[in-house]
Amino acid sequence: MTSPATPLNSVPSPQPARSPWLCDAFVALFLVALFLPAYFFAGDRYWLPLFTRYMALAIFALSVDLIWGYTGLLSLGQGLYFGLGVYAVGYSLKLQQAWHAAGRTTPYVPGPDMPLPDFMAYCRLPHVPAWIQPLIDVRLALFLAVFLPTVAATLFGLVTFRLRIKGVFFSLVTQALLLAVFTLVDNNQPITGGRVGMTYLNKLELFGAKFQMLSMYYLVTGTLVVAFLGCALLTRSKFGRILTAIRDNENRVLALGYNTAMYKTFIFAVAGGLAGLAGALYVAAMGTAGPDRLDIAFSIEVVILVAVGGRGTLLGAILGAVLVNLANTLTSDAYPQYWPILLGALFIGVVLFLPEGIVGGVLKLAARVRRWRETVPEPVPVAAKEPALPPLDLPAPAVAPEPKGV
Amino acid sequence: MNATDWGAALSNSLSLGSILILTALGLAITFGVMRVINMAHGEMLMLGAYAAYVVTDPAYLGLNLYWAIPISFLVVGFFGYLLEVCLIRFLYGRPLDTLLATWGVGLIVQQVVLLQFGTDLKPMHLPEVLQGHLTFGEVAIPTYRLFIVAITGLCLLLVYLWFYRTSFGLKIRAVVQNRAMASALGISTRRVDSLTFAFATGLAGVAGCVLGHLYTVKVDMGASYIVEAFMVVILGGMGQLTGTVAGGTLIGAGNSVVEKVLGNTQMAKVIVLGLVIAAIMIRPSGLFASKERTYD
Repeated sequence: MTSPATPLNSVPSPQPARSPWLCDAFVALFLVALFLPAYFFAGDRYWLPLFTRYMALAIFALSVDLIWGYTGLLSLGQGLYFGLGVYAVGYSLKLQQAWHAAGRTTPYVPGPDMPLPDFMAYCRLPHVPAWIQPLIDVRLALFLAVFLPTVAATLFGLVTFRLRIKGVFFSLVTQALLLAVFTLVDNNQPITGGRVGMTYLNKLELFGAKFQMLSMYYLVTGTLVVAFLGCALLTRSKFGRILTAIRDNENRVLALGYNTAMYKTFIFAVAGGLAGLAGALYVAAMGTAGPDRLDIAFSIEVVILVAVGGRGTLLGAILGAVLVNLANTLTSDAYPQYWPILLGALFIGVVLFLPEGIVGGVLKLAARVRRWRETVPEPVPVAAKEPALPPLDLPAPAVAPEPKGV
Repeated sequence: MNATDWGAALSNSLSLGSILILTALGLAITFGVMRVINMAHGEMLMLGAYAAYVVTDPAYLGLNLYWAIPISFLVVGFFGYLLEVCLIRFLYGRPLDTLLATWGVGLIVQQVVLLQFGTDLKPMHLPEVLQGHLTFGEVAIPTYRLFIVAITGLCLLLVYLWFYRTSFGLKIRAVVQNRAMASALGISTRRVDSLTFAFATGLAGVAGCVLGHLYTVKVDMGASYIVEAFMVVILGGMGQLTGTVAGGTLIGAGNSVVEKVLGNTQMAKVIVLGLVIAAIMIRPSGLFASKERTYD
């Protein structure tokens, strides 16, 4: 049984744009536009939190795009790292809420006599477990929300990538791991809150400022923009070039002498930390932390956000996250029972008809238009009239332009 | 634990193992042999269970289990045929894309069934012959669990004969080994692909029918088995019937024994999943790896 040596991710990378600065300007405009909902829905208690949620999911989509779109590693268990962030900050805000509910005043002092959060009290836990107590300090929780997933992803990456587990095996193993963690969290109600999780969380207070509504939106979107810029730096560097090379033909990169396992581990760790950050912001924005974020379906749905927007383009990840979730909200408001069908059709449709996603499709179209313009000769009368004028178009570069992710 | 406990654990491992094998058998063909990731396999299982419900429920056809098994096979097999012809065949060689597309199919199937039949659990009725217990010394095993073992054995035998004793099986193996060569020799690879896929999906239908009679029929019943079924195939080794049987037995037995020791089904699942993941890490090619060298 010899399977043909087809690359796992046989969708070609998007064509490099002709004029990078135009693309960059467009991207900058797009990033600024991300703040528009803050203007249009400033006081809207329905839409503003929703957009905050979309932006947090967009950070998560960036994380998936780094490993899937750029490196070709489809993790179906990325929710695990997101979930670590969710629970780290969830515990913190829940402990704080219990603290205030017990009528105590700040500063928070971790200790065995801390007031019990409601879900622990229901299960008759004698006191808050010692390892949860320090989390009441949200700065520590935020640090752990990024640090723990990074460490977990590094360890997981080191083992799997050095054993050269890849392709669908990697996807299925990550999924099985996520299922194991989900079951674990789901079944330890005294500690995790079980199926319901933690509700009525405190508002995020950081360095004396309370984040809610508009300030929360700015915090999440600001983080998204910073994360985008960081990812752009990373993917445009030589390092990023090697990642795409691994995606397109790992054996060749290996043959060139690169230790691909370490490259993959590094990007997996970065993506894990980013997912944790997304989870932390998500839970702070939503006010609840539950095991539904550890659900297998959630992790796969994030992949489709990236696929719709355009895998291998950072812009696509954000665009997909916002568009698909917006579609979800609009459809679910009117016809909740048809959203799963629409989502399923989206999965199928994107894979069959638009494998490069929206951004990739647009880039491809632009490349086609450019080729068409290059093959069609300039109208003769113009050239005959004013032969001295140079053509408006820049001449085609002798060397193929550098591939550049958007 | 006394003898009765061990007896119960044994009977549980037997039936859970057979269910896993039966669920994974279809996957062993689509995933292990054809290298197609069918994430909708769980939903095919669920379709099989609903087909069985429609066949056996007095409000619809009112027939019994013996009719339900072949009908589930045919109905779900036909669905699998349609799935292959309309979707999967465009995605050969793009396993990760297949994964996403079939997940979408699963979502649609689940929701359509939900809209059609509602969220309530559908009770199933066994024929009287299968309702009692058979006692072996101190150990009483439900007859239906033994019936499941028998059905699994029968399916395994059928798959074995089909693969290794028929000319169509020969064609399948030829196509899998070298598609271009098989095609050049006049084998219709399109037909082989779609029929193999349909057959494998039909097996999921049988699994769903059997499983529905063991527990209840509900919309998300397949989702809880799909991850474990994939683990069975990987743990056993791709493209190996022996491997699938061994993987299913191991995971089934592991689950029931750990469950008996801990007294907690869900924690048993966590521990066994952890062990399986560790095993796959240590031996990525599975317990019964086929001895071959492949590029990538």
